Amino acid sequence: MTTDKLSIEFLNPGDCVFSFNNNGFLIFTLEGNAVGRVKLIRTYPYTLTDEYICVHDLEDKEIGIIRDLKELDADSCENAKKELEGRYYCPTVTAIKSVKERMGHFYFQTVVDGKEKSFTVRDITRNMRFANGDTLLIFDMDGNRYVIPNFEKTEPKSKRLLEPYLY
Amino acid sequence: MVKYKVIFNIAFNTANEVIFTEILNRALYKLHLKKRPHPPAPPKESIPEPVKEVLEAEGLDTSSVIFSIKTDMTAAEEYGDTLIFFDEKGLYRAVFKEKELPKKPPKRHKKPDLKPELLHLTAIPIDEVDELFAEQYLATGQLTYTFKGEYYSLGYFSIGMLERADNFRKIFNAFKKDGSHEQYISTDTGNTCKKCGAPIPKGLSFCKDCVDKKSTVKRLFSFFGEVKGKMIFMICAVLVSSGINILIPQFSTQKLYDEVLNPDNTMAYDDLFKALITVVLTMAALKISQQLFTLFYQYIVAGILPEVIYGIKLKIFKAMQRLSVGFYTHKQTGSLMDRVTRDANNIYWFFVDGFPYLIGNAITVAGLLVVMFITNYKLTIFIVLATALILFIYPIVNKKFRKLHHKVWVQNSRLTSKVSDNVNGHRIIKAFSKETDELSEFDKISKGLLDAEITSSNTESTTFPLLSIIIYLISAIVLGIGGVMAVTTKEITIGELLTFVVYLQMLQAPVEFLSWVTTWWARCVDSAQRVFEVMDTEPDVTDKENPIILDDFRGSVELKELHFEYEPAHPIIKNLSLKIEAGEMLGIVGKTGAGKTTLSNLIARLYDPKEGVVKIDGIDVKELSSKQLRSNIGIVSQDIFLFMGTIADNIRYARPDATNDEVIAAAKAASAHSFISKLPDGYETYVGSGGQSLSGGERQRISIARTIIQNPKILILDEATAAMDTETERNIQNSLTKLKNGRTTIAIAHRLSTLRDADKLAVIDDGECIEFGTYDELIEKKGAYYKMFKLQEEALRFIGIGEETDNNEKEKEHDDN
Repeated sequence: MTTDKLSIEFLNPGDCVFSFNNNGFLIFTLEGNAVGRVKLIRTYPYTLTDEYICVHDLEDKEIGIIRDLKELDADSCENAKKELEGRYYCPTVTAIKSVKERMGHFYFQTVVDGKEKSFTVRDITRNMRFANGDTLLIFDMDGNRYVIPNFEKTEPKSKRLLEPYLY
Repeated sequence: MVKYKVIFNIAFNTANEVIFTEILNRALYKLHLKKRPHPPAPPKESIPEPVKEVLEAEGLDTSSVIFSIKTDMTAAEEYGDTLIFFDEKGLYRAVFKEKELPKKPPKRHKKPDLKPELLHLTAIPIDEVDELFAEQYLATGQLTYTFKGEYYSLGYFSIGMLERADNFRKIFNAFKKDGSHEQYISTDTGNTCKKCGAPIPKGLSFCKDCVDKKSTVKRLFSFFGEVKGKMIFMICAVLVSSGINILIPQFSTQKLYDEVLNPDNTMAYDDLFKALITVVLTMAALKISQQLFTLFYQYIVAGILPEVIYGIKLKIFKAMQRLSVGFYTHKQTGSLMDRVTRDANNIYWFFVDGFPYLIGNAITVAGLLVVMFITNYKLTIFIVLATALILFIYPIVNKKFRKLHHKVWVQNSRLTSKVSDNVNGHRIIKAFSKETDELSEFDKISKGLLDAEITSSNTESTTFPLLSIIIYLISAIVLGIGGVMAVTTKEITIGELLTFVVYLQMLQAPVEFLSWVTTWWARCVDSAQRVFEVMDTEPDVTDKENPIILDDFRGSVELKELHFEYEPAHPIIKNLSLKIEAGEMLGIVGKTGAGKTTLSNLIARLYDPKEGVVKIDGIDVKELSSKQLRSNIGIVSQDIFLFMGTIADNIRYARPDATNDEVIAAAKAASAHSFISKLPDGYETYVGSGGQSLSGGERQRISIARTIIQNPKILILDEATAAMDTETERNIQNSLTKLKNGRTTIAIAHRLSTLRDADKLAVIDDGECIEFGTYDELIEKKGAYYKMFKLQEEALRFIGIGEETDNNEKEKEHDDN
């Protein structure tokens, strides 16, 4: 099998229009037909945030894939990006103030999006891991997810506190 | 009168006791010796009083609120306090200003301002809401509602609150539908600490503020209860051994210098020689007896510890058997294995390597200081101060090393995982010829380990000599001060001074040990706490106090309005109802992930449904004895698991008393006998981890034989032949046909041909039973089953299976009729 046979069909960017309705929900129009509310899904959420975007209906059935949001008209591109940012919003940990272990649980005192926040992480080597290169993900006991986008560029104290647990 | 006096006295004494207890408690709180009790937790979703006041000021009647949830977001990417609630008139959203924590704690007499500041309140008339939805995004979620087909946003929440938001959705929708919301509202206050009353976060089994290390220690030592006598012997032996150790310098160094080698000694040569011999013999006798006592306590430790650790491991394993399937799915297997092995071993090694030495070293330090103080208190004071300095420095150094060692451990684990990955995937690596890439990745990880090890070794090799210098400096200072004392004031003899130096050296190791044993002890207590967590976890699925034991287990199954979800807001089974009589066969068909296997788990009560009931012989399974229930339900699933042991052991797993005849008969019924008898070790072939490798079909046939021996009244065949080739499938189908006779059979399958004998068929789609009836009824209906049937028929024709299938024949018959 040659690789050129593995080509996929993308949605024609010229046929796709994304807009927000009055209630703030993203509405999709394909080939001039209103599809209604849709979900946008990043297939490469860390490396290609605006490329290979799946469009699903509310029943989670795939309508198609958009190769690159840049290929859409300017308004649609902006609307789709805004929707994706909302869906993929993840609280960013800007500083780690302390990490204390007690009975196998790790109590974090952090600064998340500029506000102080504390949370508890269990099984730290599994719940704190790199997602893609330098992006560090932390999952707390409640199932919340936090991100440190550029771990290498994080302030030295935070790095020092986390480094012993990084796997 | 006397009666009144007695009553008065009792009342007076009781009042006094109450006042005294109150005063005592206040003093203890003040001194931080006792924790103030937490106010009783309100029901999980009730509105806090200060918030009620604010809402009432806005003209809302909070007493009529049916349900509310507090969420932690005010907008899509903004954290803040929001209250979402509803009453009979409307659905409301109140956004409050987030409270900023004061930089300094408020003064005692000044009450903190608890009044929340309402930013805005949105009210939606109840008639303008059709249905509520809880949508899930990456790290957040959104409550939305529909009205006349249009979607509207109600509010956002962080993903950790999804379960609560989904519960709110469920309650609101039930209220809107038919007012049946009461059944979903729980007055449960959540898990609270029994000691202080504070809420305990989900997933934690203890209150982090109150976790009583002392009680853990007490419980840990309770494991030694059965070997109490031996423990006392051990402690006595340690005491004597340490005591002798302290006496050795007194009877050796001091006597040797002061009584034998002293230049002022005027003794005759013979007497001097005798004194020397006495000193040497005393030294030897003391050392031998000390070693004998050491040997004695080590012998006792070696005897009792494996026994205690065996007890601990047995208790953990017993607790694990008691737990529900849900516990295993939430906890990673690795973490559980850790508890049985690593945590139990942490406890073991502390008691083997730490505990006796802890007693010995503590006694040595105390004894040495006492002896030294008697010999010369001035020098001892200096040494106590120096010891305090060492005790201060060592924990800092240990903390640093612990981090470095952890880093090495992490890198080592990465390397081990890589090697394991490589070994397990060696065929794929070779097939894709990726050896060079694998090598370079290994090299990268290996370099990480190398760097961590170099940093650790470098730090250790520079820190320890520095610490040794401090200790030698202290010795030199002692020698200097002592020397001055011996020469000028004669406060100390040369022998005493040298004994002092020996004591100082003897003090070094125990002090070092005591400075880091606390960390070791903390790790041991942590391990014990984790072990106790498993032991204390209550299983989700438990028997009632007096469960019903059926005299005649017939095997009729009824599922009534069943709802189930593994994760909040992801329903797997939705309002599913169906019924099969005893002895009937039900075929369940549906797409992958439709909820078919979950259904079999619910019937076997491996999980309890969130809503609805599962009835066996007309009785809710929650009322039945789970032992009787499970011994009467046999599951043959696609995931075959064979335990370590012989084939015969595996076949008689459900009934260990089954005879050899029965084992062979079961294997024959399962079409397994022919291949088993061809194996060199026959029924005694070792299978499972590290044993004889068997094909999927062979393993499946053994698992069927295992179920045949169990002789269950209800048989669940969960895709039992999905992964088999046609011939094996046919063989297994024949075995299963024999097995089905006289039992209620629930067969889950993709291939409709395997369900040709079913009395009834159920089509499951997205957790719902969309079609139910006999084969004829479903074909006639020309619905989902008919479509699947036609699709499979076409697929069979396409791949060239020309013969008329049984189903085809059946359809023809049906058409003819």
